[in-house]
Amino acid sequence: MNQRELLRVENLRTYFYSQGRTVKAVEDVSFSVEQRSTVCLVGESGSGKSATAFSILNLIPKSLGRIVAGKVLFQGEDLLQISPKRHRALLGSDIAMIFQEPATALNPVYTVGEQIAEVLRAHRRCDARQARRQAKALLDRVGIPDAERRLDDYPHQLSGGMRQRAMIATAIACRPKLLIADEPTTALDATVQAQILCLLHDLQQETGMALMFITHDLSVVAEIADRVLVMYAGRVVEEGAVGQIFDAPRMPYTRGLLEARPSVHAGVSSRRLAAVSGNPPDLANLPDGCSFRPRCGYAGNGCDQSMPALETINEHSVRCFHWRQIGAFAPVPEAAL
Amino acid sequence: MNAHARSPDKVERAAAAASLSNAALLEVDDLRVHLPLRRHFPFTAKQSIKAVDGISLSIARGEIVGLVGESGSGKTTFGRGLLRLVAPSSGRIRFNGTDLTTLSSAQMRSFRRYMQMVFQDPYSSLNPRMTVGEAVAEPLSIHHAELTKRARAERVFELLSQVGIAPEYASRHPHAFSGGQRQRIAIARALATEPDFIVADEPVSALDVSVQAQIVNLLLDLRDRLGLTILFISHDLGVISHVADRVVVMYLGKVMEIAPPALFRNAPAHPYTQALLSALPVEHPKLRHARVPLKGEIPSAVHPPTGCVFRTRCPKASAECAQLAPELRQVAAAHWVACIKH
Repeated sequence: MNQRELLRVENLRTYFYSQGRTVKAVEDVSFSVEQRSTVCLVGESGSGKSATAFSILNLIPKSLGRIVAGKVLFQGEDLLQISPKRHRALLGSDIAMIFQEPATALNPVYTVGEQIAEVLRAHRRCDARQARRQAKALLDRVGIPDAERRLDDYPHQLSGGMRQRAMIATAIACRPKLLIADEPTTALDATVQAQILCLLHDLQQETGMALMFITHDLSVVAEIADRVLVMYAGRVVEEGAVGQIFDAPRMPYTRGLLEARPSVHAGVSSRRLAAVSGNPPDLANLPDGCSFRPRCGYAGNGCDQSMPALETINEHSVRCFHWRQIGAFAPVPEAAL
Repeated sequence: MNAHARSPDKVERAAAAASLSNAALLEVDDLRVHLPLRRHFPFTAKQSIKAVDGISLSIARGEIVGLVGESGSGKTTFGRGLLRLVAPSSGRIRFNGTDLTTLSSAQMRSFRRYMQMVFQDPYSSLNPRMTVGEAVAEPLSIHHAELTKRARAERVFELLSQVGIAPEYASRHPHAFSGGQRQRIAIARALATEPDFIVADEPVSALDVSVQAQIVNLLLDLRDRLGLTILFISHDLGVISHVADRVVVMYLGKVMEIAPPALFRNAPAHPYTQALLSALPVEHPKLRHARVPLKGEIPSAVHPPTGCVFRTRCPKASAECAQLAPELRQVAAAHWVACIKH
């Protein structure tokens, strides 16, 4: 085992059951997160990225689905096997999570200060006064102006960006080793997104926490990631270092996503965008063979027969029979780099 | 694309639109939309949200104008104000020579066949109980009641194939379609009355990246084929700079800058436009750089700052910015900026 490895996910499978159908939301997902590193899970809606995050935390509601197989090893301990008591002790202290919609993730009937203090009192021995003092320091740290007064505000009194900061404050209260962030900037304006990304980066430098960041936005990936996992229809279809993904994507889907991005770069001549044809698949009714085949411009021999295995060369994995034929690719004009 | 969907009437219209391309279809003069706030206590002062605060803009026939700004900048209210879906407080909107602000609501209703809207969220903009065919036929039965049942059905088929939806699917309900397909259907519905002008309010924001590109391309195609004029509202500078012929940057109810996309990208003049562009995440990991993000968030539009509304967040602001609201000045051909520092 790698010395720096903090989290290792092995062959994770999570299925949801609804109306007699089985939705394979996470299908045989494996990856690891090193200390201090940032791993991005990228994919479209329904690709299984959030389901992967919730499975890692063992927070899949029993009424909706089950983790059917796999291991989630956090510092060697399998989060799917530990006692509920141990689970409660780890979540919120060593592992924390922030969500896309802070408005729904924060409790509307408690003040921001109470919610941060609750985390501190659950995991650290401290009295109410100490907890409040620390909560104020945390609000200061995440850049909420006038923290003393904001402690007594309810979530609805804060703007979207401030709420996200307050949620980050609750998440980092116990100095987690791993922070899982599920699309934390998707609902925010670009200017506020830049502020939050900056804040997460600074916090990571300060505390040395690892970040598992879920997003659909490849530009955010370019901005923050060390390693990237591209997901499609519940599976990892490509994994590599951020440079590998952006310089030499192997999977046609990754390439399609990179090309479909609108660019504000000088030298963009075409106004039309390079769209990926078709629509994301129905997870309860996946096509035979490779799930991406119906939308793939490179589909050919064998693609409809079986699902390609994840093939790894130079720590860069791809799930495609034909990736060698795809050829070179420049997502951003040479001159811009 | 779908050559069979082209009727001779539309080809003529597109040709006419091309020949008139320099004529303004829509002229907005000092439009204000102030939305009154409910008073929680009697006798307190009346307050209003100054969502749109003195905007003048003229849109040429066949042009795609991109309207960009953060949430709370008033871009949606401006779009709705143009169609009088919210009542303007003052100002003039001249559409094809007719002043919309003087029309009665009945006149306005029949006028809306010429101006339609496409909304952000195709999951809530289509009635889940109506089949897709019924949804697209509804505007026809309101504005073109003279059509026979058969003619209407034919028109629905034509509209659906025009946006890339197989007409066989007309009898299905919206839930059977993905987000991108639903947005296509919403566009077909907006096109049903053969409008000249469409307000597309964040039409791709709710869609996945791979599908977003399809809808952008569809709108570009429709503009070319039908000679449509489009106000494209978005918070996404990337999308805007691809789609638009001209970009309008809005902040707290006012226009900060108007520029063609190339200028907007390469030589933004207003500090706010510069801040928006520098806040964008990089497109490639090699382009990462330390950045100083714009401080704070957009202030309340109930009590906007005096003078220049952007001065509270502006890195270049000085005392004189608080004194006087800067006028939108022409600084080059097709380039307008509202900043005294420029």
